[in-house]
Amino acid sequence: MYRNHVLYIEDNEEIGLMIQKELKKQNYEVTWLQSGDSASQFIKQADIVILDVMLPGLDGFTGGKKLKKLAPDVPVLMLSARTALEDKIMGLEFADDYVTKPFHPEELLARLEVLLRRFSRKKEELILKHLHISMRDYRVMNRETSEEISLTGKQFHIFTYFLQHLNQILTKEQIYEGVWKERYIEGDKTLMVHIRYLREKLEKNAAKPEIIETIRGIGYRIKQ
Amino acid sequence: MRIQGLLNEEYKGKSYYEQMWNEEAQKLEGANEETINKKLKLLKKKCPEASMFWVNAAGQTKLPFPYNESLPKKWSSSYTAEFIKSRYGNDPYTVLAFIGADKKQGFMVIEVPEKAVELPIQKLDPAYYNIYLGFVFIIVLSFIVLSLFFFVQIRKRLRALQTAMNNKDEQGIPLPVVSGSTDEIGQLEQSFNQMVKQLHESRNREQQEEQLRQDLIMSLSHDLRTPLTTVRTHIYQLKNEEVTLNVQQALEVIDTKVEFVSSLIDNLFSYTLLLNGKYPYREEEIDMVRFLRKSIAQWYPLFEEANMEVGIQLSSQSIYWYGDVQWLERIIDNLCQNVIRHAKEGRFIGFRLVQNNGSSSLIIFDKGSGFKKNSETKQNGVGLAIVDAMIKEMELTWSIHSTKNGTDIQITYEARD
Repeated sequence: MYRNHVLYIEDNEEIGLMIQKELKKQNYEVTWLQSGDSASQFIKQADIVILDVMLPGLDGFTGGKKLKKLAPDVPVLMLSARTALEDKIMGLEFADDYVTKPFHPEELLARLEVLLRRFSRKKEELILKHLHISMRDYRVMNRETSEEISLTGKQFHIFTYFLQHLNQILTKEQIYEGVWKERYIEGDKTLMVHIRYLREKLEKNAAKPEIIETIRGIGYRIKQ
Repeated sequence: MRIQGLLNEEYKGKSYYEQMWNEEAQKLEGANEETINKKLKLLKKKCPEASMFWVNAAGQTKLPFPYNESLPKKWSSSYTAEFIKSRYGNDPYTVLAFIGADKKQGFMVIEVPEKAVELPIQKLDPAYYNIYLGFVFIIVLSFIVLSLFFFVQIRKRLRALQTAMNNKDEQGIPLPVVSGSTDEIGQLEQSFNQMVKQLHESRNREQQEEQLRQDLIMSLSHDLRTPLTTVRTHIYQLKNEEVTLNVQQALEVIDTKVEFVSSLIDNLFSYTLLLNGKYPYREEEIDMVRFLRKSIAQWYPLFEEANMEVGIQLSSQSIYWYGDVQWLERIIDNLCQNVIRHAKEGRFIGFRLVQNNGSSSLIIFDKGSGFKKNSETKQNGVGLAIVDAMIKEMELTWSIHSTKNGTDIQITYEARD
C-alpha cells in the first residue's frame, strides 16, 4: 500500500521527535529535517511539507517559497509559533495552510489529510455510508447494490470538490466558485439544482440526505 | 544751481576791502580830481557790490556814480565825526581812507553792504535751510524705508519659520529650515533646526524602544508557545494510553488551560500591536452575508462539538460594510470563543444580520446565563478589549445586552456617504 511521504522541517528536537512518531503511527513515511537548508533535495519524493517558520539559517518564509517554486503541486503546511496577522498573511501567500503552536496533534493530522485530498495526492479508497469511492480511478459504487453510480461531469466535479474538503462545511459561494470558477451571485439557483440531482443519484433517500448534509443558512458538508 | 554759484564766487571779506581801500588811497598821493574819479570807476568795476564816493581837501562831496543816500555838499568836521560814528560796526560796512599820506588831500569812502562781506556759509543761509530740511527729510525717509524693509524682511523670515514649523514630515516632525545668515533670526533658525534634529533622535529612540518591545513580546510569544506545544503533544500521547478516568479528566483540564494560555498570549500580543497602531489594517468592501457564512462555517464544528444549536438569519440580499476582513474575523472569533467558554450551557448561538435605514447590524446572541462579574469573565478581558478597540477603530458601534437568560451583542455599521 502506498504511504504518503511527509517532509517535516522542525528545529525543536522534542516536538520534532514526537510529531515524527505520531506521523509514523498514522502510516506516513517521514523525513524529518532540523534545518531547511537541504530540504530541496527531498522535495521530489514528498507528498506534503510541514514547515516550521522559526528556523535557524534560512527562515521558514524564504525556504517555503523556494520549495513551492520547486514543486508547486506539493502542499505546504506552515507551522508557526508566531500568530501575528502579518505573519499569517505572509505565510498564506505561498503556503496552503497555516497552523499555530500550540497545536493539537489531532488537528495537525486532520489538516494534513485535508491538504493531501485537496491536492489529490491521496490515492485511496473511501467508504461513505453506503458508497464506495475509488479516488484512483474516479469511480463511485453503491456498496449495497454493487452498482456503479455514473455522474455527469459537473456532478462529479462537485462531488470531488466535497471529497477534497471532507468534513469541512462549504458555503454556496465556495462550492460555486471552486467548481465553476466564476463569482457566485447571491440568489443564483444553479448550484442548488445540481446538488438536488447529485443527491438523487447518491442518496438512498434524496428527501432525507445522509451523504450531502445541509447546514442551514451556511452551506453543505460531506462528513466521513 | 544757485548754491553752487555762490560757493564758486571768490570770497571778499572785510579785511580785503579795508586793505584794498587803504592801499588804493595811498597810491592816489597827489592825484587830481580826474585821476581820482577814474580810479574810483576802475575800482567800482572790480567791486560792483560796493558804493563809493570821495571828499576832497576842501570838504566837498565827489560822487563819480549815483549814490542812494543824501550826502551834504560840504563835510563839516562834526558831520564827519557823526558819519564815522553812525557807520561804525553797522551796515553797510564802511572803510574811510585818507588820500595820500598827508591827510590833507581829502578822503575816500567805500561802503559794502553787510551781506557782501558775510562768510559764504552766512551768505548761504536760506539755501542752507533748504538743504538742511532736505537732508532731514532724506534721513527720515530713508529711516522709514529702511525700517519698513527691515520689518518686511523679518516678517518674511518669521513667516518662513512659521511655515517650516507647520510643514511636517511623515513622522509629524517639522522639516528643518534653510538658514543662511548668522543674525538673531538666523540663530533662531539654527536653534529650531537643532530642536528638529533632537526631536528626530528622540523619535528614533522611541521607535527603537518600541521595536525592541515588540520583538520582546514576539520572541516571548514564540518562547512560550514552543513548550506549550510540547505539553500538548505529551497530553495527546497520554490520552492514547490506557489511563484512569481521573487522569483522563486531569488531562482535559490541562489541555483547556494550555488553550487558554495560548489564546491569552495571542490576545496580549494582538492588543499590544493594536494599541500601538501596528496591527495591519486594510480596508475594503466586505459582503457581510458571504463573510459571515464563511466565518460561521469555520466555527460550526466547534459549536457542534459543544452540543450547541446554531441559528442563522442572514439577509437574502448582499449587505456591504467597509472594514478589514481580518479584523472582523478576529472580532467574530473572540466573540464566538467567549460564547463557547461562558455560554455553552444555553446550547444555542444565533447570528442575525439585519438592515435598517442607512445602517445594518450584526447580532450574536446566546441563551447562556449572561455576563458574570466573576474571575471567569475577567480572563476574557483582553479578548473583549481587542473587540472593543477594533470596533472603534473601524468606526462601528457595539452594545451588549445581558440577562440571566442570555446575552445579545449587537455590532452596528452606519453606511458612509
